[in-house]
Amino acid sequence: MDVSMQMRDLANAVGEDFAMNAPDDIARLVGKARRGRMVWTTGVGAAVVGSAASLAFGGPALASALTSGPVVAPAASNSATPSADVSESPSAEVSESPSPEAIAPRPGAGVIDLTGGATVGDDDDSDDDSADDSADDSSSDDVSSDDSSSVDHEGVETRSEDPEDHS
Amino acid sequence: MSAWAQVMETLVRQRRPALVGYAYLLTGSRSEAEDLVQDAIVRTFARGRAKTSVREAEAYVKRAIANEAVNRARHGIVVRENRAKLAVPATVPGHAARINARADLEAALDTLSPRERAVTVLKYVDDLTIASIAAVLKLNDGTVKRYLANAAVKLREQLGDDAVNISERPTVPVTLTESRI
Repeated sequence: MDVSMQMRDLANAVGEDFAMNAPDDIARLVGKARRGRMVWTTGVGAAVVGSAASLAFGGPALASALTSGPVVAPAASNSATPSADVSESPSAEVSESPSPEAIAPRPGAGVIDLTGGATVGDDDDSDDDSADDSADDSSSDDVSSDDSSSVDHEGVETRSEDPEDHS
Repeated sequence: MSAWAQVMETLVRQRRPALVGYAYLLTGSRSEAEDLVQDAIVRTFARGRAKTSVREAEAYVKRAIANEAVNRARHGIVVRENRAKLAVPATVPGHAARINARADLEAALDTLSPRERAVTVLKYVDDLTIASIAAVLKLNDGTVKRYLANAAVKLREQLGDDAVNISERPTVPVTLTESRI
């Protein structure tokens, strides 16, 4: 008997042994999946609403409020004004410059902030999602990679499902 | 009950034993296999597009099991359990040989690294092509061939030349460059 047959035989034996005293926990597993699904759709829904809002209104304050993080847009403005700050300021001023309050109100950065704020919101959301994926496993990366292509549909679809589930 | 929940219930009721057997080949531990299957099923249905057929869901779950088995083994999460020595009844002639062959196979699989084991299961149990295995495990085709070649050598050492089909002998030169994890 070749190794293929032996492996299938072994898998069948283990499966049959498991089936003889399999736990009756289907309801528990479905409930667990349902709770996970609600959390997941909430997260995806928030990401979709957040990115849509930031795209629609474009305000960096809105984007930072949605992502509840610091305004990262100044990093983009630093790259837009590359050598001026560095050449003028000695090392002491350089250490002060990274604070968001010092950089955010700078004139001329507003144009960049608009796009920067929106992308920060998007990045932040996608980072959360991908971090969640990597924390879970790489296997679900397959699943989530498929999922990411249809995020909008899923968010809407599963949201409409959930009330039905409870009923 | 929503459609995905019905699919999940059917999958758990009908296919769970087979999935546990499949996971056992990848892990070598019964308790680990059960845990792996449960996690994979819940995760498959807890996120993403709702699965509308048992077949589709099972394919997702099997991919999740294969990847998670490799991840857990690489991070040292798997605890090999001491397999109980089965008493072989002397009155059943074929039974003893079967039990022994099964034990030999388990011992041979234990000599494989997690990825070698995974590609072996995907190749010999799922009958996947090299490209499909590479896609499931997110590896290059060449890497999969190398893992298969190394696994074939180890299995032959343990089980004999007849166990691994000669026609399936890989043509890639066997160089064990990566350390086992």
